[in-house]
Amino acid sequence: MARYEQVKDEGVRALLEQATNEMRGGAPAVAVHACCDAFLLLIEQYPDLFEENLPADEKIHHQQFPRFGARLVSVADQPGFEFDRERFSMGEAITYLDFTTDTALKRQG
Amino acid sequence: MKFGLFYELQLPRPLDGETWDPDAERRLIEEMFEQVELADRLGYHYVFFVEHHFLEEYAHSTAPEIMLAGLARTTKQIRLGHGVVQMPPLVNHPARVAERISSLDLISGGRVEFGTGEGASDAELGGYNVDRTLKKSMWEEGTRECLRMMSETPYPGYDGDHFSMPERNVIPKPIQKPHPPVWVAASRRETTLLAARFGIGSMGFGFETPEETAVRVDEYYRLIREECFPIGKAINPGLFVLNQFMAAETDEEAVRRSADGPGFFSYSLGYYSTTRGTQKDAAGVPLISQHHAGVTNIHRQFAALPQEEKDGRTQLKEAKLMTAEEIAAAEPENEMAKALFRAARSGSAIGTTDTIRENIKRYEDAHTDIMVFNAQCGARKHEHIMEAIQRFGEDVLPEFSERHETVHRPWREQQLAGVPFEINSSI
Repeated sequence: MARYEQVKDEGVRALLEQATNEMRGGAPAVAVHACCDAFLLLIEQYPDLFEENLPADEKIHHQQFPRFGARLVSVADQPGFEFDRERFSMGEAITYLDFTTDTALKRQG
Repeated sequence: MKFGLFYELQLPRPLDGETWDPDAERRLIEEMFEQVELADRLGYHYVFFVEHHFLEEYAHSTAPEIMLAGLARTTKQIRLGHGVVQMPPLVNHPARVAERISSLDLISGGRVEFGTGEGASDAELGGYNVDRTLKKSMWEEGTRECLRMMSETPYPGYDGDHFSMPERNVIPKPIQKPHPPVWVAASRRETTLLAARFGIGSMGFGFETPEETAVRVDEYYRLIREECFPIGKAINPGLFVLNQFMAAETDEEAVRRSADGPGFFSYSLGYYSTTRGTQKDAAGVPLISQHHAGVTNIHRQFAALPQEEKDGRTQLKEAKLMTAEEIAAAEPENEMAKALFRAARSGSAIGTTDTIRENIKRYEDAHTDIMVFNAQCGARKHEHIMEAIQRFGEDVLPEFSERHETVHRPWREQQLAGVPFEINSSI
């Protein structure tokens, strides 16, 4: 069973499945975008995730949504993502996927 | 479970002077040679050296390839590990890494473990102008191409995001085919999962408990079986855990000799970590922002702390990595805080050999492949480290080594049955 299959929320799970398939298909950039969309869905359900993951110098990088070219930002007080580049590596995509999956699994308990 | 030693080559500044005496770094290296040569004679399986840059006092192991090359000629059997080579091409060009790893493999008779990583702190990444947001991509590209250079004749050339080079035959080639076992530094949990997906070993620097290790082992081997697409030409399934270490005749004496070594390790790690560090002055200003290269005495800052701060709790609270409730419970939930906390306080391999045997057995039961000891840290004495290496090597290591062959190896073979990739692993 792939890790995303343990996620209960259908919308989040579908996006993580899409990310996994894109990654397997050799499209890590598309996978990263799907992970970001999944993370925004999680923020809708657990709003404290937004503040917790907004990048700040005094926060420890390891504990937050990865900062490898996709940045969680506040746009008119709403959570969103800005992308520093179009290309992402497979390792970056995997990191975004596993961080988002872990967050979903932890929050659902 | 197999065992190894782990070296940052820590060198705290003297408390009664401004800087080290002129012979301090040479002495540190000479003592390390004696320690590793003793471990080699006693049958320890591995030694790993970090590669860090500019992190005064915390890590003077800036050129691990030199240390390992020396040890290749003065030891017989111990495997020689990079823990890790920083792979962003701005720090180490992949072709130079391939040349050095292969050369080391040749002069050591095929004993190299190739640990890879991204670099962590701004102090070192900034020193080489590595953009933090690109470091993972740089690691991946550098590692993948480096492995091709070691195993392809000729290397056909590459035009990538972070480096380019024309067709060349990168020589020499390593003894271990297609290349030495590959590892990645896994400070964050996702990197362990990444390691499994890429078919490489995971170097766990988080001081995990046996229970956490058991979960991680299960998940890691499942991903190796089901979701692996190797970054190299052969896979190296394996997990190691890092542990604080000091053995002596009594538990009390071991704790005394361990001194503030783990505390200093954690303090100086936190001092340099990430962008702002976790250590702050009374006004809440991060100490790293006041760091004066070549001058600041981190050891003196550490020594002046009350004991309850030496174990890291107060700083972690101020950095908002621990809550008052967590401190009361003596265990933070935040993963980074937990690692620093445990680095300062972990005592599972500190004590008599009986105590250590009992404590680390739980890691063996969790199917840990390798336990690596952080023996040289802080201001510990060389003779105490030597005695600890000897005591453990004579009293404990042989029985674990025997069970590694009779119990762990069959378990591993079962885990890896049906995996369709070539395996090159020393475990």
